[in-house]
Amino acid sequence: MTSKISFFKLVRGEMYQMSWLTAVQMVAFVLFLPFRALMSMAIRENQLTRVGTADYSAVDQFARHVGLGHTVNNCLLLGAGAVCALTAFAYLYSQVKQDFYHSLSLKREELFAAKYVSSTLTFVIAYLPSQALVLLVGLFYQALTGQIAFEIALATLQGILFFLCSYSTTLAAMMLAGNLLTAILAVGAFALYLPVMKLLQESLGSVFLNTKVESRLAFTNSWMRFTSPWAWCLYSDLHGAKGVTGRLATAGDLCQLVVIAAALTLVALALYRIRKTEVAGSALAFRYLEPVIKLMVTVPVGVVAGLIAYEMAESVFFEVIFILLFGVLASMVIELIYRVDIRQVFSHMWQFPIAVVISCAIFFVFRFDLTGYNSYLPAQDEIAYMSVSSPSYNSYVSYDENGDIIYASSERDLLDQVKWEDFGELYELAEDGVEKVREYGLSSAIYNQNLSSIYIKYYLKNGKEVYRYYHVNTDLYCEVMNELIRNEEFRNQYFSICSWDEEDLSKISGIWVYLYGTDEIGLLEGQKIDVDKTENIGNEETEPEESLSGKEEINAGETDHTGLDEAGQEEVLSEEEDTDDGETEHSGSDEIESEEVSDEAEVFVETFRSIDISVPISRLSDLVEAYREDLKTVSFEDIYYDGGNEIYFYIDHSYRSDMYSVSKNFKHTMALLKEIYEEQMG
Amino acid sequence: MIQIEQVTKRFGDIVALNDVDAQIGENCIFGLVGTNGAGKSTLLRVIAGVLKPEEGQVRIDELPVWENPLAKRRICFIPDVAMFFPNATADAMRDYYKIIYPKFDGGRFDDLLEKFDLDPKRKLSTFSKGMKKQVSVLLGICANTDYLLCDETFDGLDPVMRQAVKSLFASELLSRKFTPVIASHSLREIEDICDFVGLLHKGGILFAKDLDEMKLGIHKIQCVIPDAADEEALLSELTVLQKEKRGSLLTIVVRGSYDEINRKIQARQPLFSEILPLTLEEIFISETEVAGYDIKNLVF
Repeated sequence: MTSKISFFKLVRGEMYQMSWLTAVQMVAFVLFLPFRALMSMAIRENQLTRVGTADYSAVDQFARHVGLGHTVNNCLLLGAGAVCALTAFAYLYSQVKQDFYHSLSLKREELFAAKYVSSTLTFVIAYLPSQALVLLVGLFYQALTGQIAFEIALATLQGILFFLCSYSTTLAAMMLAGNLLTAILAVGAFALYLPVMKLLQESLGSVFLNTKVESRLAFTNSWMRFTSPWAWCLYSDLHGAKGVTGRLATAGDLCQLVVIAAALTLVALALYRIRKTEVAGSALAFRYLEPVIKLMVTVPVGVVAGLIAYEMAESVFFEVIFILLFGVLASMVIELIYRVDIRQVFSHMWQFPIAVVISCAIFFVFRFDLTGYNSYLPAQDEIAYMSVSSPSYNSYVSYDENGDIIYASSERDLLDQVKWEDFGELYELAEDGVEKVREYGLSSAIYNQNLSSIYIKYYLKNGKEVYRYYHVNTDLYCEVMNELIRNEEFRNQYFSICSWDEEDLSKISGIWVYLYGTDEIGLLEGQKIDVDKTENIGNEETEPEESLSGKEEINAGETDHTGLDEAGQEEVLSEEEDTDDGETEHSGSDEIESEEVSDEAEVFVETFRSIDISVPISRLSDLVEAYREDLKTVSFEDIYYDGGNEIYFYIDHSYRSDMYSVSKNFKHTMALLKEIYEEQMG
Repeated sequence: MIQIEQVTKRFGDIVALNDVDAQIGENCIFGLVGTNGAGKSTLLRVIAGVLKPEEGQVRIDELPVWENPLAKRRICFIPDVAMFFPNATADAMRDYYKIIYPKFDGGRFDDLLEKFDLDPKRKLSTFSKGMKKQVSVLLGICANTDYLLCDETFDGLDPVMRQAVKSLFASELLSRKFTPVIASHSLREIEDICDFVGLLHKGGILFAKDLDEMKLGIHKIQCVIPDAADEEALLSELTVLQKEKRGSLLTIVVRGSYDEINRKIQARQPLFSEILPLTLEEIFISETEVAGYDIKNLVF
């Protein structure tokens, strides 16, 4: 009788062989988890001892470094998964090791399982104690609440699933490769190929489809999740309720991770079973994949080369030359990887013309808009509704507590607000836009024609929704919009502030007003800086700080009205990041940018200033009412040429905000703002 | 018994084994010899269940070997280059072999290490090629499997160690059910210890026979036949594998029994005749020459 190999003994034996991997992981996890939390808490204690106060409470400080939603920790877990898989199954690339392992009295599945389990355990025995030490750190500093403990436990479970997802994906990639180099390249391709393809598609779109309206950022993030299991894990905190340490992973999220890990493990196992032992050392485990992979690399490289040539020379001749040149180079590099022989880089050149033809086809379809994307204009009888929006009216982004973009009020969101059935005038605008597209094509001359850029949405009768970006005649645009905003129904759709109900108002947690060029508005009448003082500023460098009270500064530099929108936003965000609880806390002080005042600049001193006002929530209803009242009378030009005067309504104690333009003709609003401002200034 | 049944193994366009048919009996030492690239290592890897043949199958004690732990439990495969873990010592490898070969005799392994003067605590990476080979052979023997597949076992061993390994094989053969299959270029070593020999050439097996029987069935003859017509007639009567004539001295290697060959020669009234025993090396050269592997084509 012969005896069977004990699975558990085999796992133990394999773990012993990989004890170095356990040690490395343990060091990494201890440094990134408990040690980081410990350092953070120690620094807080030190601050408390020295200054008497700390930026955060002990619990908040602890919560900032442990638990869920930490990208660095997630990257570490995913990295551990990849390294463990590469280490455990690297034997597949050595004939000597395969002779040893595959001659053992084990089925391939048993060997696979033993390797899988043993390397996963090297991770688990490094990760779990680290998380336990995190709890001890919390206990030691009395910062461990029940909720945080629960979130750490949840993060631990999620971390193990992240590891398994990364591990099984790496394994699936490894099964396609025949040596370690191609295995690493395959892992990289699994991680980056689809995102890069998406980026290429977006680049082609942004360069050649100049009427394209960008997708919502949230949509892009959602799409990115599907590009690889790693991306799925990294974008996993988009949903879920907000916990103390991060967004809570739901049972559904965890189940999805289990399914991904299980599915990829099965794929890897299936490939492992059909993979031949003798492929060790060759580039790919399955030779029939060689031309496919070559094509998958050569074609996008050719397209990118065409794009580079277009940006450099805008010449079809050079574009073709670049596609050919980079296509050949890519083809040679791939063959070099396959054959590991410089003399064989021109092997299988018959595949090259196919790649070039596909590259050229993709590139020139975009280049010459062969699908008619830019000049698309549905017939009027195909359209059910239309919508319009203007970039200068609406564009902004918001950030979360970590500075990550979480929300972009995209043009699409604003277009979706309006569904206008009597769209005759809007169709005229669209026709004008298409005419300009046909007239100027991709030429940058379109930006020098004093045209207005607008967004249009077609709601087609077949249910399809089409978004486009056009440049249209400004007079026509203002004429159409002036007529439309006189209509109350349109106003209610176009300006969401007009349709806010009590529930919407209750969600607003902060209001901040940024006014620029306030002389024109008249708010700063009482605070005008006289010319004598400004002359002093020019003559004595130290004088202005003494002569200007509080935080008031003078913006005497060259100012560009068109850039104020964005500049204003950045300022908002930098201030917001300094706040603890996500609410805006603006002092209402004057703030004008610039340090140096040159002689030439003195003449501008009087006319360029800015102030910001933090409007109390108690005045929200008044402000909204005043704004609504003003909208009934102001012209579209008052909104369109707002000069950078904006009201931000912050929602749900987050950094997400809704912005509305305001100008001097907003009489009711301005009067109210002046009143508030004067109250605040005493 | 190992049954190799019409096994074909291809590596891309290269046919490494072509319809190989052979049987390896129990309790004997089987030598696998062959030309370079004949497929000896490939055949051993197929027998060990490392490689899957495209056609045919290998059965061990009637059990198909591919993906069959029951069959593979009876085998231990010692490849040409042994696999040792990084930084492993002989002791560490012993412990691992205990896991993967449940009948592994650790005590005996320790004894043999001592007899072979190999330090069990020393890292194997610091061992010479021959010392590593010794450790791998000892691990294989102590695995206590019924079949031990050895690829180029004697390669790198000094003459003393070769004798030691041979005697180890012999003692194992006497003490338990044990069948070593040894692939080697060293025909002298194979001739010394093997009971049966299989000859591989260009992926095909030329024969697999009892070595003694093989020697009885092939002979080298030196003779002088005065009459050219008689000489021609003699050559046509015999199964000639190799022929060389220097002056009037005819040297031939022929297949057949000693008595029959002698009778036919004597019938042609030679001036001189002598039947000489063949070494395995001579048999190898003769047989492969018939198969087109002619030394004359290689001598410049």
